[in-house]
Amino acid sequence: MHAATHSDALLRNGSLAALASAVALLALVVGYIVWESRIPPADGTSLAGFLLFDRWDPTGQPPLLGIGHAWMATLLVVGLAVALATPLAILIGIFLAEIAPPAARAVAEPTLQLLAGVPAVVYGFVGYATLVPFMERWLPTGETLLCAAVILALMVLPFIAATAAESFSLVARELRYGGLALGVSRWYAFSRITLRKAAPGVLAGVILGMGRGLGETLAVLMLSGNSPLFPDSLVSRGQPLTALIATDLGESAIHSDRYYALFSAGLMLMVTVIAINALVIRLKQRLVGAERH
Amino acid sequence: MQNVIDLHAGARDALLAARSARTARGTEVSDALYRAAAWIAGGIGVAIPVAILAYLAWHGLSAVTIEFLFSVPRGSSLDGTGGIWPAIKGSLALVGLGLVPALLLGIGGGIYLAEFNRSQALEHAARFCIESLAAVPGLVYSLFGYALLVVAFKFKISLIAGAVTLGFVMLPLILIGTHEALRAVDPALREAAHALGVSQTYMFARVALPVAWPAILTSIVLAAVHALGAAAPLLFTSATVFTREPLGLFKPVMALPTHLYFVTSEIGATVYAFGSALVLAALILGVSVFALLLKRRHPL
Repeated sequence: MHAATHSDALLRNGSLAALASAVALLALVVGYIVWESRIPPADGTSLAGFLLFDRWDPTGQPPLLGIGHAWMATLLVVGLAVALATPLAILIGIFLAEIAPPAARAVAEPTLQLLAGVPAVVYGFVGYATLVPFMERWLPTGETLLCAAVILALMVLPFIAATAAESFSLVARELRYGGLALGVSRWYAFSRITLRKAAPGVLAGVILGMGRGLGETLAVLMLSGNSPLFPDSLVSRGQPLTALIATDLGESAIHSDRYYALFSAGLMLMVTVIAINALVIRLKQRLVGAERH
Repeated sequence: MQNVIDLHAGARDALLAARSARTARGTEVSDALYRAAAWIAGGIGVAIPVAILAYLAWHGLSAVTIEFLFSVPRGSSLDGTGGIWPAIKGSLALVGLGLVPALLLGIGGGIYLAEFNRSQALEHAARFCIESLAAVPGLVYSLFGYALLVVAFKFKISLIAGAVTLGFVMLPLILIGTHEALRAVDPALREAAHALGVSQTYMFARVALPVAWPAILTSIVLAAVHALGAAAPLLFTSATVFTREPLGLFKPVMALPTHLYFVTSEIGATVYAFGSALVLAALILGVSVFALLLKRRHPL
């Protein structure tokens, strides 16, 4: 008995220590990135200039450290990617939740999981080898924000589809069958009953996809053209936030103004993604909560 | 007057009958379209990963030889000749080393949440922190690893800095996977064990773990595979374009995903690059399929 309580205490305290360390590491990551950030990044720069108005010209005279162009490119790429992926993802969600026989679902679900597991750099490479030369036939350059957005759409597709399928199947069967029993079409029942009940879940999936897209680095780095100018259209070159950080950190002296600017950009990226994550959790809770009542 | 009403009623019935026949046909057509659209969408979802792998195999299979896998790149930099062995070796070393802290803290934390914790508030708070950690982009981990490990700890760009950073990437995935797997164990089993008066450790080792281990192992393998394909965390912590030196804890290393990135940006989509992409994609998809099959063969 004594031995048993001894090993109990060991397992309990050991695992508690592990959990505490894991949570402390999160605090360390957030804290250290904050510690290494300066917003605005240098004396004589303003917050508005850093976020919106200044160009990115760290070697100019005077050096300019604006990341507005990168935010713009990120919003364009992620917005378009999610807009492209969502309709297909909803249809895949319908397929998984309503239409697919068990055998088909047993193939489709893990395959989508595999799609989510393909590394970003492989997506970037495939886009570089296929989409870029394809677009060069019509455009002056193939490496554009549009190109990055199309590949990013493929990357966020499985996340949105899985969340949509999950929330569609949470909608009570009685409601769906009740609607269908009234003789309406399946589309009518879906759009008026299932989709309405599942809307917070679908929204959660879309927002989750945006979070993934915001932090995505390699694919947009390889496909967006990586030029630090304000993008004037979707078919111009651009430099999303992650591509800016990945390109410039290697050229920045440690603890220079440029270094602080890049860490501040990283901090904003991290805070945005964590906020998005919290929002997704809340939306999902609301969906499950609504089902219980 | 009565006649008029009858006439009205008759006309209305006829009209209703016609309309319901029309809507019935409309419903059939609409349902068929609905089903077709869903099947097509599902088909596209399945086809994309298959198409990516087939495309890479089509262009890259001819490059992948024993020599390609097990020799070093020739020339003084990346010129698309020779093999990718240093990248394979580097990737395995990075993930293997990174797994040590990730397993310790991930499995340990998951065990505490599932087996010992009785507080809902703590569970919610801890899960929120861990899920936030899982959502943080790899590039931000790379910044963190650069500032703390490479600069402040003076590790330089090195295998150890990259491995620890990859550990950060894997830790939340493993912790969440362990927690979920243990939580999914049938409560009746636990109650039965509890009624027999066994200790908490005994219950964990003899009741919960035997049921939950395949799901835990699957989440570990998927986390490792995710880290294996991640280039962003390595960019500022361990990556080098080219090295001939043997592995060393404090030396920069090549890795498969960063290698693919550097090769593509230096020499473009050549057969050598396709071969590198194929090796990386096949390795990751192959191991993921194995992990998913493992989970399916041993459902909770």
